[in-house]
Amino acid sequence: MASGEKIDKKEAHDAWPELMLAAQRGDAVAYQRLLREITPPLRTFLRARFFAREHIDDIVQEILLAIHAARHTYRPEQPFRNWMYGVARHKMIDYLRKYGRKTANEINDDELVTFMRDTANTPEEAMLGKDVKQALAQLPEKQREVLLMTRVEGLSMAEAGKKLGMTETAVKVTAHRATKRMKEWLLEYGY
Amino acid sequence: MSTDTDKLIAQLTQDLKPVKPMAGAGTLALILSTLSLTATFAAITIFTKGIRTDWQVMLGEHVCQTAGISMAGFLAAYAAFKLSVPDTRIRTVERVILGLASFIWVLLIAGQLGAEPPEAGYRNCLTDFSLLFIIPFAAGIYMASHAAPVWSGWAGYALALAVGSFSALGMRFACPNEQPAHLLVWHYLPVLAFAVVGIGLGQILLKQKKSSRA
Repeated sequence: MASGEKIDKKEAHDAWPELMLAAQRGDAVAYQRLLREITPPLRTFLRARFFAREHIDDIVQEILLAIHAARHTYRPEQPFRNWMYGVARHKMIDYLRKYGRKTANEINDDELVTFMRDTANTPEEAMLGKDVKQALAQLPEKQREVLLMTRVEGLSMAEAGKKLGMTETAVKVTAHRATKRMKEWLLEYGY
Repeated sequence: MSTDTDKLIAQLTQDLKPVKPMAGAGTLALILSTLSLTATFAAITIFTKGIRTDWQVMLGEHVCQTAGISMAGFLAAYAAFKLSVPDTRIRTVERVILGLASFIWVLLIAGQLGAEPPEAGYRNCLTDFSLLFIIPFAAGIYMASHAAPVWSGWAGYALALAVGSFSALGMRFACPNEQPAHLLVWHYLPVLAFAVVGIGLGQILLKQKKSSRA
């Protein structure tokens, strides 16, 4: 059983270069399979480096975003795992620099959107809503616009990209970063 | 897998567009070398006194120097683009290539050591050198930032060394002063100085470009 699993894993690794090449050609199914398959090894990679469980998700997401943004740099003559772990290592170091000593708290995405839309039900919620607006105001203009368009106005990533003259990928990544930055700002202010 | 990671994967794969795989390091190095040489010689013709009248000495008497500088430029450009693709570590091949390019420059500099101090009146060579350097270096940074340099400092060093080499080559074709001390101070040492500055510039420019692109 164990050796069968090992063979399966090896076969999965062997398929990654092909999946990435298919992703470069625009094959979404292959790409989804690849991202799903590489997520557990990336977690193991981070766990082996003594990351606390609550940080691992964040770093894995950063790595997936970086892999997405850099997917055009993969070339078949390079071992895929070297390429992937090259990105992972870089993002891990970035993360350590940025969040090294910070406590990881959680602010729910949906809560953030509720307050951005100004749909508070109680005075306490309204107060938090004001702080969320302040957090929104400190974002760089592009991030704020992306967040408002995609989360408040309800535009799709593609529509927002068209309006802002950005690629869809850039919008996705900007939205993700903006949300993260807002959460960090709110955490700094005691939420 | 967490729900957030699931959501992110769904988001990234939704309406996935094909991407053009990046060209290989050799091709990119060739493009940068051609571009640097073209820009350098165009700038010499337009902005300086033009190519020296006895330019043939650079292909005759000083052919080794010309070949050495050109090779250092190309090797450094190749290393820069190799370093612009993620990998788990700097591999031996990159170390050797970049080391070789730097070593060629050490040899060129060593060849001019022990000479008399340079004559005055040629100090504008440094200004000319800087002018020749700026545009190709900006182009190199632009090209590297479209990859995904994880060793941004080293990539910056290699790019500056490459472009600096081609600027120095251009200067040799433009400036007729063959005095060793002049070559050392105004033509060769600036290449290494710019390469060292390139480390810092790479760390800033390549990192910023990379995150804005991502």
